[in-house]
Amino acid sequence: MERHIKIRVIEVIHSVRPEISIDSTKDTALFGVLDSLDIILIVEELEKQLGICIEAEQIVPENFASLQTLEAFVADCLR
Amino acid sequence: MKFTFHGARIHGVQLVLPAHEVSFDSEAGAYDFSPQQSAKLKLVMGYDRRRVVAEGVTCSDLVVQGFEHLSGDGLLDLETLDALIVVTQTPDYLIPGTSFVIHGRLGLRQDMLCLDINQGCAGFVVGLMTAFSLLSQPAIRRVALVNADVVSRLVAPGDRNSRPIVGDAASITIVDAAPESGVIYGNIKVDGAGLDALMVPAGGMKIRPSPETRIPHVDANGNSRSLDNLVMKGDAVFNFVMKEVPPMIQSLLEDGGLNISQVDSYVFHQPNPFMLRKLAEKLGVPKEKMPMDLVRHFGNSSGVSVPAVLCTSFDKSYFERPRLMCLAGFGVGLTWGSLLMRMSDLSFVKVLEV
Repeated sequence: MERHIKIRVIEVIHSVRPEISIDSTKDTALFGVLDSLDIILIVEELEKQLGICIEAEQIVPENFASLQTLEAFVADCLR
Repeated sequence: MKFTFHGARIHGVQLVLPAHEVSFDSEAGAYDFSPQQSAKLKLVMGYDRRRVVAEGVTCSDLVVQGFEHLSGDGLLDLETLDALIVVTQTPDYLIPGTSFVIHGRLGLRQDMLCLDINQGCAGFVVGLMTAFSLLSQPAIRRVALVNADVVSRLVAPGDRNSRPIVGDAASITIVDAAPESGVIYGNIKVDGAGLDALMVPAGGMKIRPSPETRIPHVDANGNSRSLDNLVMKGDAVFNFVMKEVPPMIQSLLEDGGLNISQVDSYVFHQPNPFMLRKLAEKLGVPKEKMPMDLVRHFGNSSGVSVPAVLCTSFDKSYFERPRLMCLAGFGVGLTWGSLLMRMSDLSFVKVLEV
C-alpha cells in the first residue's frame, strides 16, 4: 500500500512538473522546488486521482516539503 | 465590526468592460510554464481570457462612458445623483481623486458629495457600506457607487502568478433611499499588519517612482517584478482568506437568523476558481449557488468582481422576485467584509463593452 501511494504521488508530481528528478528510494526535497501554483495543481490532481478531499487548512508548505511528507499526508487523507 | 443598515436598496448595476480581450494561450510564451502546467493552470486557476484596457486608458475613461450610456439609454438621470463614491486602487491622478475627474467630465451638479476610497477586492462591500451610511442623511436620496480598476497597468509582464488573471473593469451601482426596504446586515474586519501580502511598493510618498524602482528583480518563484509593480503573495492571501472568510460568513448568517441553505446566492470576490471552490467546500455552499468562473472569462477585476458577477451570472429577470444575497470581498489591507441583503426589482443589470 505504502509503495503504491508513493508511486501515485510521484506520478502526480510529474504530471505537474515533469522535469523534477525524483528517486523513489530517497526522500526528495520539494521545498523550494514547488511554488504555490504547483501545490494547487498537485492538490487538484491528488483529489481527482485518489478521490480524496484536501481541506484548505492542509494546503500548507509543511505537507509539501518533501516526497516523504507528501506521501505521509496523502496516506493520512486516505485513512 | 458589525453593522445593520436600514432604508436602502440597489436600484441598478452596470458593468463596464474594455472590449480588448487577451488570452492566456497567446501570452503563455512569456512565462516559463511547461505545456502540462499551462493546461492545468487554465483548468484549475482560470488562466484563460481577460479584459484589459489599451495603453493610456484610465478608470475615468471607462466610468464616464458607462454613465453616458446609462443616461443615453434613459436608465439614469444624472441630475438625480446626490453623491458619487469612487472606489479604486488605480486613480487617474494622485491628486485630485478620480471622483472629481468623473464629476467634471460628466458636468454633474455642484450640490453633491464626491468621495474617493482606496480599496481593492473588498471595495464593493466597503463602497456599499459607505453608500448605505450616506443614505441616512435626508439630503442624500441617491448614491452612485463606482468601482473601477485598471490593475493590468501595474502588473509586471514577467509576473507569472498575477498577470495571467488580472483584468480591468468598472461598475456603476445606483443605490437609493428606500424607507420600506428590509434590514441589511454587514460585517467587516481589517489587519493592517498583513499589508505586504498585496501592495505596490513604489509610487506613493514612501518610495517615489524613479529609474531604480523600475528595475525588475526575479523572486524565488520566477516572478519578475519591479517596485513599481503589484506584488501579490499568493500563499499568504490564500491562507488569510481560508482562515478569515468562513467564520465571517457564518457570523453574518447568524446575525440574520439564517442558515447556509436559506441564501439564494453567494456572490464573492473572484480571486480564482480553486480558492472559491475551497471556500464553498468549507462553508458547505452548493456550487450552483456560488459563481466561480468570472476570472476564466474576464480576469480578476479587484473591487469590480462582485458587481461583475451580478451582471454576468444573473440578469434583471433573476431579481424580479426578492433574492437573498450574500456578498463578500477580501483582499488588500488586509480587509474582509460581507453583506447580507435582499435585492429585487432592479431597473437594470447590464454589461457595456467599450
